[in-house]
Amino acid sequence: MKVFFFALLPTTAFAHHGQDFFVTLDTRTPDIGHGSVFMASSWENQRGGDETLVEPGFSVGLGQGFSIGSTFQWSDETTGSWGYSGVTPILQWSFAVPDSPLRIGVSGSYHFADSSHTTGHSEATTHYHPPTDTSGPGSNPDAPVAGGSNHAHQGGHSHDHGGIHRHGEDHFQFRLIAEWQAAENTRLLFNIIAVGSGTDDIDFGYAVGVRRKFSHTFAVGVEGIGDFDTSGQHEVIAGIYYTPRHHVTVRLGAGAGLGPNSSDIALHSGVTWRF
Amino acid sequence: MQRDSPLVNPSPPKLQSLTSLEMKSLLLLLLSVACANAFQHFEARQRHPIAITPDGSYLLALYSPASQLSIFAPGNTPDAVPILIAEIPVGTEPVSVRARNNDEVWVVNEVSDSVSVVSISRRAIIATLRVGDEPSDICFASGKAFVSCARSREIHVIDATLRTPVATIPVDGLFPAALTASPDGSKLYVASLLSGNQTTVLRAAAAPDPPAPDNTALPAPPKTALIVPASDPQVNWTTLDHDIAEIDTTSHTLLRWIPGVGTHLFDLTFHPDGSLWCANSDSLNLTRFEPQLRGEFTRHRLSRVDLPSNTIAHHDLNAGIARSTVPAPESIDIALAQPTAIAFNSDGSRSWVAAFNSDRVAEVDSTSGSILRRVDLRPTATGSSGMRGPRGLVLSPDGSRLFVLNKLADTLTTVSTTSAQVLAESPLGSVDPIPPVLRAGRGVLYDARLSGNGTMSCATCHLDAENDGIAWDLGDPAGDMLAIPSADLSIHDTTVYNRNLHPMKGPMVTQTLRGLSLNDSALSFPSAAVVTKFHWRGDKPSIQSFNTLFPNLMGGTALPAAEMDALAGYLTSIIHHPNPNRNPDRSLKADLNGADAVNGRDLYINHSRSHCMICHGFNAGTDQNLDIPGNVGRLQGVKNAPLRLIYQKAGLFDPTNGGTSLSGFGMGMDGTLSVLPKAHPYSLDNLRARDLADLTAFLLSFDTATAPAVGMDLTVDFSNTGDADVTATLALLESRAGFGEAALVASGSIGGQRRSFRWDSSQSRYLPDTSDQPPITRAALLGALSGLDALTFSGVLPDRIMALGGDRDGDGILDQDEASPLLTISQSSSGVEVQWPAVFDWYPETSGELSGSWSPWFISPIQSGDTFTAEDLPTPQSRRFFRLNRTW
Repeated sequence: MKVFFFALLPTTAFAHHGQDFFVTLDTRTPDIGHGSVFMASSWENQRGGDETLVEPGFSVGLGQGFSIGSTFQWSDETTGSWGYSGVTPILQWSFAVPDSPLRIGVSGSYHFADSSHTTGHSEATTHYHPPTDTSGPGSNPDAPVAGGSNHAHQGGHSHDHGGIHRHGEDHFQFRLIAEWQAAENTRLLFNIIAVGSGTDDIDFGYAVGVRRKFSHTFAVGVEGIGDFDTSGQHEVIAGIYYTPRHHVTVRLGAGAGLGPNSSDIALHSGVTWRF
Repeated sequence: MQRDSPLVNPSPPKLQSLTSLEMKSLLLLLLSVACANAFQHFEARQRHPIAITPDGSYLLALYSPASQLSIFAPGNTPDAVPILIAEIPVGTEPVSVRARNNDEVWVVNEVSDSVSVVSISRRAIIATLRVGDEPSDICFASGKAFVSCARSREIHVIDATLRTPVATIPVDGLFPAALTASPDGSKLYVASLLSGNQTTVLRAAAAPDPPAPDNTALPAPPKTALIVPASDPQVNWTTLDHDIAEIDTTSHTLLRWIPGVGTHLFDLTFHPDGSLWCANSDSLNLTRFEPQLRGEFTRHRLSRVDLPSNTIAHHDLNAGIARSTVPAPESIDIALAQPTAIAFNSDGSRSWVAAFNSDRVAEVDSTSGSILRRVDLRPTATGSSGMRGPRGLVLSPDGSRLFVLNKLADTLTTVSTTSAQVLAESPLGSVDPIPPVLRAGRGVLYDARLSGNGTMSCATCHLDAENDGIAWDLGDPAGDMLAIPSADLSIHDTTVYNRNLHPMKGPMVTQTLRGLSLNDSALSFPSAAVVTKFHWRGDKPSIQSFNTLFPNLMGGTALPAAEMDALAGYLTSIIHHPNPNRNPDRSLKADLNGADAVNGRDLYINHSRSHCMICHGFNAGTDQNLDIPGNVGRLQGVKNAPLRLIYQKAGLFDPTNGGTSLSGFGMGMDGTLSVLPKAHPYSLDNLRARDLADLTAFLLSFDTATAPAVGMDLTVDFSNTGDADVTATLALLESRAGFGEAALVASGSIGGQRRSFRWDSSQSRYLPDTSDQPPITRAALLGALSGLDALTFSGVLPDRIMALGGDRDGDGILDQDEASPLLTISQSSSGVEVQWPAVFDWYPETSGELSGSWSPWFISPIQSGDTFTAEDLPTPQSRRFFRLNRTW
């Protein structure tokens, strides 16, 4: 089983447009006229296969709790060759519940997978050209037409399909976000995630996170993410956050899978610059 | 082609010029190869292929490859040679025949999933009855017909008079096949062909470590599963031993199972004293490793079951024959392998048994079980290519003659029970559809005389070229490592590596030998990894490479290459039955056991949702590669297995704690897998429960490369031409014929004349069997039916369209246009001499009056060239008449 967990989430980096989570989206959108740019990267290994993702992005505030932005992905997740793999624009709206430590948000994004990257590997495409003549000896009427799938992989990598973890195909993602300021330096996050391609079923999952700040400079956090519909895909990530200046945060994290379909180990890093 | 008669030897052809002979030989060879390559069949699992009418007037024999019931006039003298008097088309691959009365015969068709009701006097099918999947046998009792449906594991009960369904009785046995009824008809007994032998398998993780190899150069063997008795303390599930079912023929309830009879139960019959006898074999698969099995792995027996106590006494048909690891002619000459039929004489003191793999019948003392006499059916000095394959037996009413149906030669041998000599051998039909080269290869598979002591053949485990339902550990601790090129295609790495396979491979479930030509990979790259290979681990590059089993496992000697080539040709001619889980139009069912096979197929081929298709690619569900063993929970390389027959294997094995398992072995190489769709521990995909159910439904519907229209048959007469079911079925058959999935033929009786038609999609017309009649529409064809007319429409393999639809002998002359042969009568010195052309679809009849009662002329003619000659001695009668009558 090859899982490249975080590469599948278009909001992986975006979740840190100014706050400090890896896979959980918080409600802190930039104010109007403000924004952030960021760069996230991750490396993941499962059963000897590894995959790498680099994901730069930006977010700008639109006012009234709205923000818009996008991330761009370069990876070797689908074909084994390094290259541009897609773009994910996102729109988010958040608001604070009056007289409460609770904030609510919703986000929607759409991932446009790069077809040249996902179908371009000549060796892999040999899988998807079964015979189409159903009248010949031994032929099978259920065989897809030539080139029936536009999705391919290469090279012993962890990868995954279905559920909330999609790659190599266009798909949308919606999140319902709840954030509770449990204490002055402690925040709890909970996301309900819905993912679908529009042509098949919608899959649901969750992300949870807790972050505690020890000083203006250092904070730590723990996150979990998983799939409601499928078995064995749950992962926990521990992170440490360093904010040398108010508008810059550097983060490092390590994750481990809890289920048989999850990765063995994952490393995450990123930097955010707010303006 | 017209059959050569084994009765007579035609004169040798005159020598011609060498060049001409060479040319003819070359052309003949090319023609043989072309025909052999084109010929496909299902290798019928005959169960009761021969019977006799209650009054003894007609001998009924199934000619399965020709989809034909052959009717012989048996004669009534101790030396009479049966005469073929009628050849009647029935369903596809008929396997059992029983006479309901002196005119009505019921034939079970294994591929058609039907019963053909035949009228002898009308020489035609008068009704076709639908039954379950892969029907095997039929038995009449209490005014009803009971039909065993082996694959669907049920008994269909039919009102024998009304021909209407009465009940369906589920039978939780493995391949319930042979039937017999108690003498009073109150109980029906059903034998499970693949009943198992109370062995099962422990997973590798639960099994002890394998012993150290004898070959010190070998690395440590992989941990493998282990075959154990079902009573092993580590086995925490119950493995059933459902050998013979006892069913109440009135209430249609299953009363009990009789265990402990054997591993493979071929035939059941009642002794006059009321005991139940079963011809069976018993497999010794608890013996581990090929060198220990070599020379002996199966016992062949007659087992007597005293009722109702179930006391069982086994009679070993080869008692005293020593295990032999090298050919022992003295044993081979007397061995009796794979008993497929029993027939008791009138007082039950003796029985005759057919030893299918030995080409012998034997007379057995019923009390002691000792062998009294043996009759060799294979001509002297004839090798495997001359195998007869005695499969079914019936005694003449006076007990003086034993009629033996030879499945492999498709002949009828008549044996004198007085002298134990062969009186005659006759072909079962006038046309032989099987190319000679395939018959030769057929013999190799079944011939037990190729083993060390004559008791084993390939077919001992590969029953009727299929499997035995159990697993064997044929590892060799003294063997050598094998390197098989393969690639990690599941992760899209096309680099070719060698998978190093250890000779101590562990248990492996016996695989079918059917459909071997249908498993090629659709991939061509990397060629070294996806090239067609055989056996679970892909460690056999060709069928011919199994030659080592003759010396190493069976104690015989390796065969000449030509014989292995013939075997390969034969095996690759066998195709699978249609998958019963698909719709008649071959589409997938949206509701199969509550799941959606269509959605399952979509998931299967949607690579963004699943990875099934990567290793189990179309067409057969295998890419022929040995992928990463760990991906499928294996410690050693295993070829990605084809999926065409998953529907036959699923649901039989339940090794869960406290579970009840019908079989001791499940899916996968070692038989330890039990749960679909993720039979192997595989974690690539994220599919929810509903998806998994749908995917399972698709796997259970995996196309076998034979469309459901093949074998589908329907009889239409004047009374039902307007039935909606008739209209819908004919429209379906015509439509599928248009797609090339099957040819559509119709045959039967119109105006008392045998007629055949074949559907031409391009014209949307039926083409008749005469050039004097234009193509006609379906409406016109049905409109021609009146009175006792009946036509049976059948979906058949496309290459049979002419043989079954208008030109049965393939000579290019339509059946109705064939000229009638001329019979001549002349005076001879001793009486009269009668001559007629040597064609086998005409037989001589004689009568004392021209308008009187004609009867077959029981005489063995002498063939000279293209002419039969027979002499009739003077009789007291003043005059006698002779004529020829057609068999069809």
